[in-house]
Amino acid sequence: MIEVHGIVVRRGGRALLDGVDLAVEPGSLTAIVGPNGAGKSTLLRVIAGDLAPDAGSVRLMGKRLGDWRRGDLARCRAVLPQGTALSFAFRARDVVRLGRLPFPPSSADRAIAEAALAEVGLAALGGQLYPKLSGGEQRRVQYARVLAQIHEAERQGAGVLLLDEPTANLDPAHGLAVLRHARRLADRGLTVVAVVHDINLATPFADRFVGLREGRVLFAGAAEATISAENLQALFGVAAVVTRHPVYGCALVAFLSPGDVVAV
Amino acid sequence: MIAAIRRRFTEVRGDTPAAPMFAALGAAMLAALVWNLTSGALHVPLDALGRVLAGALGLAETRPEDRLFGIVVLDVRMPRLGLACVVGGTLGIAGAAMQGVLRNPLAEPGLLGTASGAAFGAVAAIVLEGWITRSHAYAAFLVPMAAFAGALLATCVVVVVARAVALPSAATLLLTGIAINALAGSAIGLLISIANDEQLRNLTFWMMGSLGNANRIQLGVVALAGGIGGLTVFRYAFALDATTLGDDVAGHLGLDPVAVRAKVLAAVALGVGASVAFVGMIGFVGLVAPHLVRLMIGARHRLVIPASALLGATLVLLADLAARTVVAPMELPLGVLTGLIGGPFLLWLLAKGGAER
Repeated sequence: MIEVHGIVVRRGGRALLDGVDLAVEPGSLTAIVGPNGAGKSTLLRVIAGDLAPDAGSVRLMGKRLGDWRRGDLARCRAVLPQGTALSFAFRARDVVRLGRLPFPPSSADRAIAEAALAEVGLAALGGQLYPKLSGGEQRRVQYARVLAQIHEAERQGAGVLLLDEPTANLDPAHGLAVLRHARRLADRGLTVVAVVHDINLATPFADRFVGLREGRVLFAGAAEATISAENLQALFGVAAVVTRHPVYGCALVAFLSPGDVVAV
Repeated sequence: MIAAIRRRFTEVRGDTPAAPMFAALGAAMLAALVWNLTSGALHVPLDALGRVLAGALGLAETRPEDRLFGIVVLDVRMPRLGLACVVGGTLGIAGAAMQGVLRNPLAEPGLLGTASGAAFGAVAAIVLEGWITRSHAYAAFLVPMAAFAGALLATCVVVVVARAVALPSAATLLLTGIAINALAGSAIGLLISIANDEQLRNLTFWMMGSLGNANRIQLGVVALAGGIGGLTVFRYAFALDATTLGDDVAGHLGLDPVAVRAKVLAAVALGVGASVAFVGMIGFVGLVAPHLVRLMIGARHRLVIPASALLGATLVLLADLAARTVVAPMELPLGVLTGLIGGPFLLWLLAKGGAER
């Protein structure tokens, strides 16, 4: 359960977030969409506690963010940041293993980390040096680290997962696999919020879409209600055609170059 | 704290591939120790060394013809070797900690003003000694005390200023350290310009480092400070792993990256401050030891920290051996030799690594 109320973040005279309200139910996956610079990552960072807002409040699982003890929070909330630079030659499995840091050491840690690596399809690359992996592989290693951290919360069916562009740098197969996995975590009772750029990747899996533009919530609600040509035009400033996905039946979006006539 | 340290060793035991490397590092250090104990103005044969050590441990009667060997080994060389080990180990750990905390493999213990602060303290004590005390009896304590105070003060200033002027990130810490180093360097230059010839000679040799005056008191002080500092750093081994992924990720994993940095830096300042205070400036060990260790056993701090201690100790032992024997009966400054040995070794390893890539 995430409750965000009246969040304002100002930087250099510009409001990155300008009064954002958001409520995410347990057991659901919410996708945050919007143009570059809309404040999506800023909002996620505020919810993660990386950034103190100038106004407003964040409650995670009924408790104000400031009232959580760091260690307790780390045991039921995991975050995948947008980019993770690492200048030291850790092996992939060592990075995943860091997800176990919030927990007392246990003999199960190794198995949990290896299972997380297998989950992202990197079981064979655990011994590789992280800096030598490709961008997409590094991303999947980071997702595996998050999985290793959220392992207990997943079993208990209560926890928060924050993903900032989990599909960035990933090919379609791995992008879909990550979102499908996030969906499964939501089905087990976790509260999942993901910033996504590719709406079509998210529509089969997300319960709700939140459109963010210039630090304000433009729309929020179920995919059927929110993913419309009008909303997307207002959000991105680009004409779009929304049809049905031929297999899943969910919304399928095609954007048009500026100036092109929509003749549907 | 004990539980935290035991956790680190349990982890080490689980990862067997590092074991041969630790065995090799330990063997290298042992060889350097034996080589150091036997070599010098008086050559001590290996069998005599064995008898002397057995005698010192009460395992055997000391033979009369070994008395001279006993004095040389136990009273002259042992304290010096002990000091070389603890100083080298402290510098190795400090380098590993600094590189982890600043998230930069090129960081070294001197970056945050610890060494230059110590140098400023020592130089000030040497140059201004006449104003502080008329008695030369205090001089032997004055320089190390001033150096130690300078080291701690400079580190405190860096940490506090970095916190005051901006977010206490690794980058601001580094830049603040550079600013404080520049200030200390200028202050040292100012003191040098008013020093007389004898003071100039003293401070030049202090800055280049030497183990020549080693005694048991120094050994005890450096071992205590370096030990506390080293164990504190080791305790944060996992936290250092996490902070290399960035402050945000460390926070997500339940750590307070700012507090971790402050504690690790305090531990480094304690150990490096004590060792610089008695032995002077010994460059390069803190940079090169963790770097070499990472090439050998990877980046995990729970392995890098103890391995850097072993390698740092070995490097200082070898450098001191050369310092004592190359131009005997004269001595070369230790700091000159650590660079002379460590520099080409690092280049060789980089070239080797480059060829493999």
